[in-house]
Amino acid sequence: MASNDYVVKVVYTPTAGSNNPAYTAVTITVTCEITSFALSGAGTTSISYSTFGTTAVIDGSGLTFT
Amino acid sequence: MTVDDGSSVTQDITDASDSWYTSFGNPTFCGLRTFTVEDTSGNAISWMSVALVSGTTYRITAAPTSTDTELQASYSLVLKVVSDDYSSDVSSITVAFTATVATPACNCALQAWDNGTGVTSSAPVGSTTTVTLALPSVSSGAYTSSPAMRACSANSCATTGSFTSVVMTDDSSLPTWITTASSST
Repeated sequence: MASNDYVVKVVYTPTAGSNNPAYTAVTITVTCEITSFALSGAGTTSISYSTFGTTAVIDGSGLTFT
Repeated sequence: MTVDDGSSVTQDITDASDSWYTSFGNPTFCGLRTFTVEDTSGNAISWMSVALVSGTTYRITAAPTSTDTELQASYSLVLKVVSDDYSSDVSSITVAFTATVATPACNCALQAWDNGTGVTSSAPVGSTTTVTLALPSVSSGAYTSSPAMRACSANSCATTGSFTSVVMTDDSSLPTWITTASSST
């Protein structure tokens, strides 16, 4: 299973206060599991499957086409 | 002179004259003078100071800050003037005055806040996940942090507000698949 964290920070402005709290509010862990995919034909070179574009690339060079 | 506890006020005064000053018109002919503020028993008042502004103008600054309310009272004080260069030859002179340290008005703008606690959430691809952001909280010592906050009744200041910025930690905008909606504060 592949995953990637997305961290969101916030600034809160109180109605009455001397400071505006600024903090990391949430960390979202996006998970992805490949359960199946269709093969249109035998691959040749640089076989990969991109799940998050720039963040997680699963190396598929070891896959065997059957 | 009246000053709110936790605030400061100033009062400018003109240097005391002496015979040489009067005769020659030179206020520093006999050197500078030191001004102090004391109570009637001769004890210095820690929250009052006197400093030379320029020429013959001195400035009294009163800046009391009680740890509770102990300074909130009226005081009979004296401004004591001593010649720096002739302190052994010239007796000091004193000028009596009254200072009052007043209870300040409640100022909720001084209410301190603590950060909220971050939460974590797992969001499988292809599903919709809702996360409730933790709100910040009023600091535990907010109502004892200053005279103006001590003047507020407990929990009388507003505890509402709004998130004015929600961005990624690198200050970039949220990705399109993360949306926000307000509920209540």
